[in-house]
Amino acid sequence: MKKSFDDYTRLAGSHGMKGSLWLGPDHLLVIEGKGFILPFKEQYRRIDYANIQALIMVKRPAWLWWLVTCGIGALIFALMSISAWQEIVGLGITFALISLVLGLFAMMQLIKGPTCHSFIQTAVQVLRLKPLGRMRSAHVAFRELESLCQEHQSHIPLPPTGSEPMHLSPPLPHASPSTAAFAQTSSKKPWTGSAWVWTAATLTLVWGIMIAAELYVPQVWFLWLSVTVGVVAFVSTLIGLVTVVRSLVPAALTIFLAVALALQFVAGTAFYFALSIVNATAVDIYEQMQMHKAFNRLAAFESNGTAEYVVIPTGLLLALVGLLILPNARARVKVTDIAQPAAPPSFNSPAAADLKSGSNEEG
Amino acid sequence: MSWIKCTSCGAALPPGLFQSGEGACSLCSRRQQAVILPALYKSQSLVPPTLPDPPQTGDVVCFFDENRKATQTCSHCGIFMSDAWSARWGRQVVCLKCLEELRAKGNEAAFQTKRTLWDNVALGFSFGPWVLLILSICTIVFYFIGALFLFFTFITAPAAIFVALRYWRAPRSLVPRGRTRLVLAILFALIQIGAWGSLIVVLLNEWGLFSERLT
Repeated sequence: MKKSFDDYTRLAGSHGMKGSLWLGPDHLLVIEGKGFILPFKEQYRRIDYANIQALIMVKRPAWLWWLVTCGIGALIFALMSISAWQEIVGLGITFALISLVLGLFAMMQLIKGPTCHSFIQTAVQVLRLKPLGRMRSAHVAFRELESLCQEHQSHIPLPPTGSEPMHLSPPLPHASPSTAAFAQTSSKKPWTGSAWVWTAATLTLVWGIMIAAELYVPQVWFLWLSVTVGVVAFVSTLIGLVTVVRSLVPAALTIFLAVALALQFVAGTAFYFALSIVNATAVDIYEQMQMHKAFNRLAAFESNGTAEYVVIPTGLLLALVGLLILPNARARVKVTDIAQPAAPPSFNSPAAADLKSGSNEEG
Repeated sequence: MSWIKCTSCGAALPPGLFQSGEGACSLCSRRQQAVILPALYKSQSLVPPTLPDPPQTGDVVCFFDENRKATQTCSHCGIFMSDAWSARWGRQVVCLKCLEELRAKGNEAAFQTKRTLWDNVALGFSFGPWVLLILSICTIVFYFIGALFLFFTFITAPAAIFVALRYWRAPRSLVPRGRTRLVLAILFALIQIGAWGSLIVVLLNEWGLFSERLT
């Protein structure tokens, strides 16, 4: 998509259904698409910078729901694909494709980050800006919009002192909260560390080493232990990731946890594949149905060299990711050291009492 | 009075609530972040408008109201008008009558409020049945419906070519883009028509219609 045309510069969005936002010389051009999958119609709104009263952002948990739903869906379809593969190859391929699509969608959610709804308020409307559906892009766009609006509204005189309702001191235009402050005072909690992340890091590290050692330890108890550690590591990483995205953490921690989760998923799927392949060597169906015998066969499996190239690097990579997560699992800064953002007035204040009793001017 | 409207329940919230950049609605408790801009206080600082002085002898009067002095010229039709009858539209100043006409007709890009994207319509006709086919396969339960969508191509493929050629020169999106979508739609539709043609020939041949005539 073009980055600029005529007097306009692209702020966000694309040719898709959500439309796009364009910065004009004195107004914001909002393009909204209407249709199904493809936009068949476009609607244009032009909003003067001078008329924008507020930029509003509301965080939404949609991306987490998508992530969990698609992640679980991908896992289920992957297992279904593996099960169906031996019976009907076509069905196995179909399930694998669905699993792949769901997996990619889940990964996309992780990469794009938290979702939000963004709005601009003018005197006559509150307009939702659909292209700004992610916190990251919304922050960047709001920063640009804010500076342009401030520039075009510099002529507006300051409000007279005490004119604000409910005795709440109004923020002066030049002292309005900037997007920088807004990012600092986001709804996220400061990172104080998490036992889940610590557990996830430790178990990922341990499981990585165990996977690498798998080919050299033939005992079945080791295989069982590895599977157990793997399952617990996956669950704790999933919970850790959810904890992390709800807090103000270094971006690297989120990325490492996401990578760990993806690697664990791959390792788990590969393990299930290996179990199915080894199980297929059983003499009869009755023997195939006995899971402990399949485990025995897998534990006793000795690599002919090919598996080593896959299993050992995967295990070591997993261990490395676990090692990278560990230093960030605990907060380096004490909570008391973090400057607390200014909180809105409590409901015990006289202003709030006025609000409750409905004695404000427009009440 | 200046208020921030809650995006969830529509309640009017005092801007002071967002002094720290974030606040929760006192009615629905929805947390939201807001950047307050000076325009919010514009209504407070405005004084009630006073009526302009009536035009003196020799003054140019407003085309729409003889009691007002003309201060502007319409960029579109060129008439003299007062501030009350003019509207600033980007870099242009137009009279309210022209503004209404320009927005209704939509001939000038700067005044357009909506456009039909015919290139996307053609693309939709061309690829739509296939997308529906894939979606129906993905549902697993209704995969058999997918076959029905393939029959749609008998109509949608020629329709895609018609739309693409009919609106070849029509303006596309306001954001300039080439004719790639139109070309893609035509090419894919041609392939589908070719496939239908081949299928019909094969079927006719299978039923012996061609061979009988040849013999």
